[in-house]
Amino acid sequence: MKPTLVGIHSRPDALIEATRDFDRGRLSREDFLKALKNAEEMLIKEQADLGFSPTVDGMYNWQDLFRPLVETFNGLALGPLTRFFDNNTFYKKPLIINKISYRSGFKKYVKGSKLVIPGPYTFLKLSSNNFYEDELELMRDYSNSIYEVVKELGVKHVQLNEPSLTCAEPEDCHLDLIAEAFKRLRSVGEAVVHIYFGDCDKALGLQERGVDFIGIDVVEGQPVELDTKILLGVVDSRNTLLESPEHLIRMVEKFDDVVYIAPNCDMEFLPYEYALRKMKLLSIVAGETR
Amino acid sequence: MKTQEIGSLAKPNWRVKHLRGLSLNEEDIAELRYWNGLLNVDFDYRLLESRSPDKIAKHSALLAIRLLEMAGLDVVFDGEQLRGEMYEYPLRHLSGFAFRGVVRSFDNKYYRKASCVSKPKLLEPYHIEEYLFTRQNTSKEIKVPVTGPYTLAEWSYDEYYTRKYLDLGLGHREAKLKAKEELVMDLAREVIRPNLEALVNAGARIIQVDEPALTTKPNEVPMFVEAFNEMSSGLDCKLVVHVCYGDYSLLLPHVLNLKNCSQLALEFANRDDENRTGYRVLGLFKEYLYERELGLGVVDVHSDYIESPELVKNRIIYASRFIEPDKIYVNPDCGLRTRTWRVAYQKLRNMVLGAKLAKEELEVD
Repeated sequence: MKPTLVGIHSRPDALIEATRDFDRGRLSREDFLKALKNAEEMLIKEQADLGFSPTVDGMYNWQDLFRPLVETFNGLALGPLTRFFDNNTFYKKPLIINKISYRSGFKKYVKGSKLVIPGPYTFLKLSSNNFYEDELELMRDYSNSIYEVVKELGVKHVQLNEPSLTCAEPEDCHLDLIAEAFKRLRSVGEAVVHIYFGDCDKALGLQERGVDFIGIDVVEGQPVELDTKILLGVVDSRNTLLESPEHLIRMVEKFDDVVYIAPNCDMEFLPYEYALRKMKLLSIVAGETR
Repeated sequence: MKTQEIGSLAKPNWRVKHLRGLSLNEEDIAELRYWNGLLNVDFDYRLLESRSPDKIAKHSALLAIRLLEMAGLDVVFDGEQLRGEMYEYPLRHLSGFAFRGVVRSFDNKYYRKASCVSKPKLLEPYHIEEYLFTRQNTSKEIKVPVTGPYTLAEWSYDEYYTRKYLDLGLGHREAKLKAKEELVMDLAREVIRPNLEALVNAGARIIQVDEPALTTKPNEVPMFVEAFNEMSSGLDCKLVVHVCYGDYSLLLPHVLNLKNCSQLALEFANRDDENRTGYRVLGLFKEYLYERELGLGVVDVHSDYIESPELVKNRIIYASRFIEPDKIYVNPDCGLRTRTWRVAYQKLRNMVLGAKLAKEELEVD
């Protein structure tokens, strides 16, 4: 069992300052990129020191979970600022204005060993479709594009984020397409579908369809019994209250095949120092329950 | 059909730098000269060479009032030049919160986020000086923005109440919900209510409770309604509730239970297109027989695009299908603090011109 991160990480103070200064014309592009690289390297080192694997680069140049898609896929444009689930965090809604396909240029967004990317259902629910008559075709084209990205990047770990499964009502055909996308990615490397921000009972539907590696959020959702490999989102990424190691160990021991323990969602909802405290906690728990 | 602002204007570079003790460059001083000249406000430039943060902040507030007046608004404030911003500033005036660090709101925009660590208590009312300053410097109607209890709670972490309910043996989700209910109500009773009372006693006639977070969690709107009714009961002033960047369908029917609220002021332009998609949700307000005033957001505060008077007019005319024209107040989507003063002024000026066109077409005052 290893600890791992599952999304966009909180930015350290130096990077926050650099982004502010860059926006205001007080920092050159070169110095800004240097600050970005320093932050990525610092986080990768923190993960290595704490036994996290696979590592992520913090996704520090992702302005939101969808921005790299809009910037590297055909058929997408930037839409209005929109609340990201029930957070005080906002994203620019992707507008679908033409057929979706991968163009090029994703490499600059992934420097760690794992790609975290919205799954096809969450992409469908959080974008604005002005082109497709058939939303299943939309999901297929999107999944094909992700597959092209993964092939180009050559990453060995892919995490499809599907938070929309906790708050929308997917039909069987939607679950079929998530499973289809998952299996295709699994042929390239390790793939996991991560469900978070609420109850994860839709994981059972994915399990029925052959998805054999699922991430679940047991902080904000009720535990669900699965026979699959599990990524267990067990630490609260949306509150600074620090969990006790004993509580976390008890939670982890309720599940059979936990491959990864993780924060329940992106750690960008916490200040960097608090994210680090929770990472250390995960490292301790992984050591205790290994 | 009156025009109003929603709250903030940007803090000009000359104000920010002076308050931080940094030296101003020629560009900063040129900007200050530009606005002093345009708005016809006297200024002793020797102040820039001494440490005069209070005087500089007040000058900035005076210019903001004049800018809003010159744009032609009916209801004004001081552009929130005498407060830091809408979250950290109030929390600095209460006990019970500790700042934990900086988190991102979107893109490269951040805010310093606090955690509730004990029961909140107001240390002293924190908007009186701003209100009195504005009253001394304008003859227009004044609307004072005050951050509401739900938003203060929603934008904070909570270590105190959550720990309390976890220790009582509640599950995580239930503990968080009970904790939130208690925190919101305590903020309403112990912090916002005495603040509102102090403002009313000082003479404030219109107060806007800012609740941008209100639609964040769909099941928690009734929590705010209960807290609002508790904190506003019997207050002798007009109360407005401002909400933005959320799904307004979640507000209904709950907001109909707000007892002492005259107006909802909402953002729409950000989500609009040539088909008036952004304003269609107003159909739901009509369906629910919403009959109070509506503050209609007609200019986007996150873009430098200057809406034409014609576009503003079209948005108002479209909205009038659902809301009686004499119940419409015309405003920007939200505070204009992310735009330069030049862009903000042009947007507001066109907003006022557009409202005038709409009034002519709808034949209302």
